[in-house]
Amino acid sequence: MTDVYSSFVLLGYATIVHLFLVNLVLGLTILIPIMEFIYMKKNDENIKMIMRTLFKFMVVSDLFAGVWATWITVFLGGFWPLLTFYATTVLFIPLTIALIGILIALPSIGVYWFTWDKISEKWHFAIGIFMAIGATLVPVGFNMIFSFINDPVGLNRALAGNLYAVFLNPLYPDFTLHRIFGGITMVSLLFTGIYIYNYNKKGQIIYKKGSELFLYVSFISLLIESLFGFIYAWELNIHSEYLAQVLFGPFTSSSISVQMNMFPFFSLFMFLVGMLWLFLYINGFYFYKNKKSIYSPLILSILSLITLPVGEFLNDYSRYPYMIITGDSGIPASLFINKIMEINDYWVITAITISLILIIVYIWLLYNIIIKKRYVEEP
Amino acid sequence: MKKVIIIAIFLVIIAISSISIAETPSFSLNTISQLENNANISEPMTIIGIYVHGFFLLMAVGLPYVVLSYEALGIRRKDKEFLGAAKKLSRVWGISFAIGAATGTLVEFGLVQLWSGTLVAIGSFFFSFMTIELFAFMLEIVFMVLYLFTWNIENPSWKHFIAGVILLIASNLSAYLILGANAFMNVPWGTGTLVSKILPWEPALGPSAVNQQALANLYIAMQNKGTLALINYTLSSNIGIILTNQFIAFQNPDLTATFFHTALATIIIASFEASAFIAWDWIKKKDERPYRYKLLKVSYGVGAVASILMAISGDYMGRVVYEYNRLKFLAFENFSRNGGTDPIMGLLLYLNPNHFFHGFNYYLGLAGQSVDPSAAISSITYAEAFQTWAYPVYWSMVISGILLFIFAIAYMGVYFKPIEKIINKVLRISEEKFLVYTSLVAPFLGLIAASAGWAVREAGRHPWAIYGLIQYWQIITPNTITPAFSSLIIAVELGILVFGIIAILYIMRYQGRDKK
Repeated sequence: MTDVYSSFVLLGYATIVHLFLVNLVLGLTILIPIMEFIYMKKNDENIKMIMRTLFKFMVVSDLFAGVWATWITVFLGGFWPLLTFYATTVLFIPLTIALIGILIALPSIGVYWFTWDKISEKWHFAIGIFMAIGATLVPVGFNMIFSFINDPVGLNRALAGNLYAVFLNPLYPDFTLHRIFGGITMVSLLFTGIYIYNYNKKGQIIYKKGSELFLYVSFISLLIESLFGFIYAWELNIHSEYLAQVLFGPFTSSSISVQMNMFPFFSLFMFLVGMLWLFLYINGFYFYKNKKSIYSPLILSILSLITLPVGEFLNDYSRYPYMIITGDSGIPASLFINKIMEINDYWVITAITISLILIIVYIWLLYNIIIKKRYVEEP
Repeated sequence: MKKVIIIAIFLVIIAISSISIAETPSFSLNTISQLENNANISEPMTIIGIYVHGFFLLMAVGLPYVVLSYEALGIRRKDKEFLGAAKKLSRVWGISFAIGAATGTLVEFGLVQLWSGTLVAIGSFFFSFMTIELFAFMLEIVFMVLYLFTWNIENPSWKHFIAGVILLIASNLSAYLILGANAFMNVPWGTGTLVSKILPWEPALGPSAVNQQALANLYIAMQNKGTLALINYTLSSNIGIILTNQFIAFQNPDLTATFFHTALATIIIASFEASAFIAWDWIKKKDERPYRYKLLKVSYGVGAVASILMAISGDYMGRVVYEYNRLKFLAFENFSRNGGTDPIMGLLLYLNPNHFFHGFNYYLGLAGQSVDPSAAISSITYAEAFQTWAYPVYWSMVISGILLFIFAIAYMGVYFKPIEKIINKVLRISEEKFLVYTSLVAPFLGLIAASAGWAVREAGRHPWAIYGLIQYWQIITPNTITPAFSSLIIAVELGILVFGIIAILYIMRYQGRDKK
């Protein structure tokens, strides 16, 4: 039989990499039209230039995110065929919403790219809005999967014929908003750090404008994100007691027996969130007081990149050895593993090794193309 | 007014989306006829989706041969005209790849969401293909970014060319692996004599790398319930290990034949499409004719070489179909129910023009030996129904192929004077004009041949999704698929096709318009 643990780790690994990239894409597809709106109101060419740089970054990230979506699909189908069958059957409606989102977002990105400076600003902005709607529909659909495996509301009713019953999941609305604002927060914090760093080093006005913009967005989105995070934790406590016990340990009232204790990791996560707040404050304070610091913006950017994967790791790994949490217990992952073919661990090791090499090459390429601008000619 | 129209279009899209989602409510399919109906409604969107996907991917797989030919000549001869053409065409390569990847998502969703029983195959026979394909896909993305962003016409380098070659290998490897899954659906290699127990005329399909009892259990589980059988999550424990050698399907002779046949088709279509654009400019821009002809000789040449090789690969493909998909062969060669002779086929296959080929009646007689006679009979019934349209469609492929072969031979007139003289004498036009005018026809011939060939290949295995093992209604989702839903997806697919073509035309016509 296929090894359950290694298959679980591989799926989790692909999911975390994919979510990291799609959060970048999601955050940017929402922020770029907002920036275009600001540009139209203020007619500030700096905002336009920032927007273009970010758009290029988003397109390249989206391409790579697409690859990882395929990885997840193949791993789900290959290692967890029955689980995938359940998901595609019971969650047919949410997955269709996500598909429609993808189908709206991808052509919109293409149209947005090709119509830059070729149609009126208002029309271009309208296409951007359409792009943002499409990109937002994707997590609206896919987050039902994560809500469902934390609290499989509507399973029996879906199997009895009502495919809409899954939308009654109490975790779903908050979790979805948590994820959407997570994307915006990650992107805005990342670019706050990058722009302040560049402003401190080069002193150009474009970096100042970018710093102001992203500081403002970061504060609002981190505030909303923290609020939704708190509500989500509260709801887990009520609707997914097992996960709550694993994650929050001493801070839960229940005394159900759990398979692992993730409280130390949760504490690390909370520490990272606290650090995000701290470094956002420090950077804002230094920026408005005209004090220059090289390290604090870099730390803010690095923290923004680390926090999301740690949160996803917590969200995914805490359920092991279960795949679906059902209140105070769960359905073991071993029930869903592929039992019609023996898949050796070398597939898992090879997959992770090769993908890591290619990720490093890809990041190196992006760094050279977008940050260092080593290659003058563009496609 | 424009605003009203665009808002109206958005609202219509949202309304159709909402209706189609709202009309997909139930999970109540429990008879074979209901599942068959579900499958029939789903088929058109799947077929169109795959064709749209194929249209863009053929450019991503076939166009690199032209781009890299230009680049190699440009670097070798220090010729900026060739390099400029390579750079411009590489943008088309890039956009085709991006749209191909987007439509691939659509096809992927179609597989796991609509034809959800395919998951059993992804978890077994397709596993190694799909998993290795992930690396090929990732390699493609990395080298696509590298290749497109590192053009430097002023200072060309072989390193850039090598990055393109790696990209070409990755895209062709990707095609090979996906075609591996498709080849298995046509010829389930590695199942030994299992299929012959259901379809008694089938030869052994390679050495057996399957647990025949487990596969028989799966066959029985899905026989009457289709994917509803998969709702029971203890099913896979009850079936047992199906596959013992994950790489057995790589030995499939149908894979080798299909890959070379398809790869050559992509090269032919992509190179003649590029030729058509160049030829059009040759006609329109008289002052640039020497430059256009210089480019045309290369792109047409790539297509011509592929067209000549296609004759060999087509012959091999035909032999594989004859060996392993006999009913399909009988249908597209239009044999009568009682069989008969076909001098050309007899000569090609048996070196005997009088060889007698059995007709459907003979195979109907064998159906009684099957462990599932109704499945065997239904295979023959479908093949007979398929025959009504397969014959003209198949021959449209063959005739298009023959014409392209003639074009390819005529192209050799560029290098061999006797051929050029024949063209001058017979058609009373120069070699140059011959290439220009035929360039405008050739891509359509290629598209007709590829579309027809693929239609015959896929429809010819009905009612089987995996030949002799799983029927198509057995893998359809148990959720009701409504015509409204199907219409929405078809509309989106056609929208992507139109958008993609406009994007390619835009690049070819307007990007770098003033640069040679």
